[in-house]
Amino acid sequence: MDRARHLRNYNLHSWTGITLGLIVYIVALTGTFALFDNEIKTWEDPTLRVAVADETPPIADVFSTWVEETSAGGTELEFVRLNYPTTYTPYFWGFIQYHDENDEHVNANQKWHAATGEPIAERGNGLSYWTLNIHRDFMWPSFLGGRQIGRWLVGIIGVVLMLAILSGVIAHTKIREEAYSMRLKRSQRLKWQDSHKVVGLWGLPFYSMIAFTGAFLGVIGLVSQLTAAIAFKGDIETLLGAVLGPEVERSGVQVQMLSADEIAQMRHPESNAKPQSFVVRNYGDETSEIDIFYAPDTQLSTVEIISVDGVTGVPITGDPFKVQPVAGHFVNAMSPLHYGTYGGIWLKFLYFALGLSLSVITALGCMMWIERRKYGNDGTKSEAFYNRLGYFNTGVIMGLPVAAISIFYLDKLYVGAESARLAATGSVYLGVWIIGLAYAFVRRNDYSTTRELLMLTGALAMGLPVLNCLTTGDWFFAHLNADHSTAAWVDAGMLVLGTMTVVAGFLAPAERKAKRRPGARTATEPEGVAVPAE
Amino acid sequence: MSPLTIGILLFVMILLGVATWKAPRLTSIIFWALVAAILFGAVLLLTLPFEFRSLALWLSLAVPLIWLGFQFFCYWDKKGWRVASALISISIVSGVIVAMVPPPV
Repeated sequence: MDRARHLRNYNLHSWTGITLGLIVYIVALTGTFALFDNEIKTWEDPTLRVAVADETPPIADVFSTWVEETSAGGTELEFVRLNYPTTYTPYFWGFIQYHDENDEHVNANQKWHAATGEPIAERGNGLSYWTLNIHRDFMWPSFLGGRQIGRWLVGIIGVVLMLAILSGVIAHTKIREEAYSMRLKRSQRLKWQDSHKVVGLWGLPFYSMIAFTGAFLGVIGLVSQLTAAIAFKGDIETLLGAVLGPEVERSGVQVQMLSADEIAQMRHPESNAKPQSFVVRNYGDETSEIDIFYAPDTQLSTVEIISVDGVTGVPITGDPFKVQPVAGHFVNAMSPLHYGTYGGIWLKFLYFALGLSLSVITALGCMMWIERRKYGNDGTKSEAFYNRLGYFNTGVIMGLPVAAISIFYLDKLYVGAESARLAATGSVYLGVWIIGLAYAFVRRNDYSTTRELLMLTGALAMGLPVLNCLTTGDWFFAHLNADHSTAAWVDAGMLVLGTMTVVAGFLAPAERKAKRRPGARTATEPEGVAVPAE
Repeated sequence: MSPLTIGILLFVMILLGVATWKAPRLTSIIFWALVAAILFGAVLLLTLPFEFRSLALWLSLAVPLIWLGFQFFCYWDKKGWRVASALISISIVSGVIVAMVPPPV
């Protein structure tokens, strides 16, 4: 590869990293927390700390009454769904979509207790909802276009990460020679450079997979719909018919449907698994169909679906749109691959470690870029400029984990209205993050800021088991072997992680060891030209 | 289309033209790579001789990679103007094919 092409590729990697690297860091770090949203749900809501019996109690009467009463007066019941209790969601959850008397689209949902079938009061969305969705769509505000825009932006970050990975691998001309090279006794920049390269190389399969699956899940709604809409010249109805099959129209003949309890007994013919949930189309009509969702036989799949007649329960066969093509298996694997749901808790721990290493790589990349310009020959701006850039970089990077832990405290100490819980969670999250950023500017020492905010993050994490005990009465030690121990293990995990983070902060240097190299150029010397993007 | 809309569209097109002229690689990686990927994906959906559902699903996996490939190409080729020309040409040719070929159903 000629030198000019190598330099262009290197610049592509460098400029992709510095312009969007912090956002990649945010997506990667929030992703490590989002991995455990199911576990955090039970920590968050003590009413969910129940074991789920193998045989679920009858729910048919309660569910059908709720469906009829909720949609009473409406014109058309479009969508009916019931989720059966699972380990992480130990409650029945019903969801319907219907048109009200003004033909307006209305959604309604309700939870019922897994053991008694009693309605569960709705707890406002908060900790787990924010933790998951800040990663999925940045909780993008409605006044800037809404959550779908945020999802597309996160997907674009996945594409950017793929580009950074590809250009990084090509720029790394001595991959084999430097695969084990960690010059930890040399300069700061060399240590960071070696760490960036070595960790980036060894984690490459994971980073490539997570970038691609993330890009797919984020942009698929935008890019594929656009592509298909263009191909079909805007005729979305025909397009959907070609992909999903023709929509079955209601006949208008009212019939008695299969009940929720009868569906609960319909085990998968091969795996004998219980149904996880079902969706009804044309509810109450003789043309109704029920899609029953089962845990997948192969774990690299979101669900297995069997479609049955809504009245008789006889499986629907001979419909080509009910048979999943090979490509469908690959598409269905994207979500389990990205969220690490196919291999149990130990796989999630592995994903956590690798996700954290990806955050570290992106942070190191930004730090290296600033270091080269502040202390090396590449800077064209003043030292003050690079200092401020460094403070901003450090504040964003180190403020984020503090913010992520602080909303655990808000969850337990919040006393306001449930309807305002999510807004309060967002305010605390962003507020603490901004305070972390401000602290970096006030402290004026990136190393000390990093050290102190690391130790603060660790201390806060270590305090969570105490907070949980004080507010719910559940001391985690007593529940580690209980029937429902997930929340206890969240406490234990936070204690261990917090301790490690405090130790890491304590061992981190408080200041840069080497000073500026004599003769290193600053902005007053125009020969030190920053590499242009074009 | 109202005169205001036409005016805004014209302004955006002129801005795009100037940006492509001044910084062909940067404009291509930000804009033309995406446009070319979407239009090229639409052409593949219309023209490849495979079962439609399977093809649509395979392309949903392929389009992000096609987009990535076009972005990478922006800084790979020696000449910046050649990058922009290639992506714009792909977009125009794909657009013409999409306009001429009817949907498969």
